[in-house]
Amino acid sequence: MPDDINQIVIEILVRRKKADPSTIRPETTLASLGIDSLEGLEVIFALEDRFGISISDEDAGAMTTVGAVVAGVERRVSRTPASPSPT
Amino acid sequence: MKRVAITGMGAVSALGIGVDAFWRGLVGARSGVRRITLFDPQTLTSPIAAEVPDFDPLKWVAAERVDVMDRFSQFAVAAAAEALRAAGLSATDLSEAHAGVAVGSALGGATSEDEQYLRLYGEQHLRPHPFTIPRLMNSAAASHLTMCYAADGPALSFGTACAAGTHAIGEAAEIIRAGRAEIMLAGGADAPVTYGVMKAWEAMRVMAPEPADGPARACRPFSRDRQGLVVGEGAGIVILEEWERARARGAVILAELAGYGATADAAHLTQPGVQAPARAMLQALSQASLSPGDVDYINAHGTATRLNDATETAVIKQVFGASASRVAISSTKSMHGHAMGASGALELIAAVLAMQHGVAPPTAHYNEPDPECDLDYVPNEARPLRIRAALSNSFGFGGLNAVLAIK
Repeated sequence: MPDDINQIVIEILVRRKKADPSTIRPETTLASLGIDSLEGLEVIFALEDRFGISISDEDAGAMTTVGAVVAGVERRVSRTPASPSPT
Repeated sequence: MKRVAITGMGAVSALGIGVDAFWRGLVGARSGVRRITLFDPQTLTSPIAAEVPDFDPLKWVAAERVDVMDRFSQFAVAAAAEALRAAGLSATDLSEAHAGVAVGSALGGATSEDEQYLRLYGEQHLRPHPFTIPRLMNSAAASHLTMCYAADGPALSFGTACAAGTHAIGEAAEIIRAGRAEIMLAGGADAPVTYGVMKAWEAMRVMAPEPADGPARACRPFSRDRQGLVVGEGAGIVILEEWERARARGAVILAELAGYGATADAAHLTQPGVQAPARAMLQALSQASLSPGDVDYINAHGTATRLNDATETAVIKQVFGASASRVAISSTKSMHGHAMGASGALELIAAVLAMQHGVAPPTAHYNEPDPECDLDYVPNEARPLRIRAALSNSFGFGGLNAVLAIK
């Protein structure tokens, strides 16, 4: 499951970007992928939708690297019953 | 007083993408009215609309920008791209001239609003998409035009219902006349073919039913058997340019935007009046230094409701007097549907094309004369006609009237 989460997060992050997913490391920042604050909102929204979780404004603000996003999603998925909401 | 030239035009409509497709559809009396494909329309009493066919926003909008734009903004960006190309103007030209933008829209980002409220109320999701507000705001199309084309002069949006595109073009011309900008991108855009909006129109009981022989002939303006309007969508954008500037750079001037009139009925929300629309037409003629005898073509508001078409006929008679019967009048809504805030812009483009080509586009699907509509509506077939000057009427719900004059 954690590997899946990593992969899905990366897919969501690069959906509209030209970045090669294989070059993305946990320490890669969202900013370096060209994701600005507005696009960051869409990423958080897509993650909530995809995993059926809720991410607070404060936690969202702290998710500045790929690793932080993956860890944040993993933490929430592990305490949420496995029933992702429909997209 | 400065003069205003039209130096470029772009159209996205049910007749296709681009001015050429638009004009071919109009002179061919082709109908853009079809079964709705944007959602499942089976619970609508009339499941038809004039949808823009095969619109792929990625042809005009960068992938990373497309998610932040509602369909109505995408239409505006596509129409503006065509208009600028036709005018021979680049983003650098617009930036150097501090060009302005004026876009009318009746409903703004209706598609996004409908989708996201369905998530919220219908599907019980926690939140709507974070771009819901920037997508649905009425000014979004104007904002995107400023950003896509580096137009950093005065930028405005107009929300005057079915006259919004006409007001936007008229007010943009006034900005040029006042010397506040030398180039304006002006027009209208709307994408109202959503389940919520269509049900709301249905509730007003002004929608044309789907005819037994299929959707194409549903909209029959000025015909005795007319049964109401057909909702359309799209965008029309024109490039307005200060006359001397356009001449100095050798631009091809398509027409002079010579007059604009704007009035309000100040009476009833949906029942149109005669006096105020007539005053708007007279204002447009007066500013253009035209008399009714100089006008050879009128692109009518012509929604195909019982009331609009009879009232508009009375308005034209009041303004034109004895010469009302010699002016060619058509409602191109019979083909491109009622594209709400985009209508007035598309119809001005139709009038300019009519003048350029020397052809009056027809009122399609005209079946029988109505004693209350007894003028020349160019029924069913385009007509060769030397057009010295033309008017385009838009009379919006709420009694908001706007008229443009070209020569």
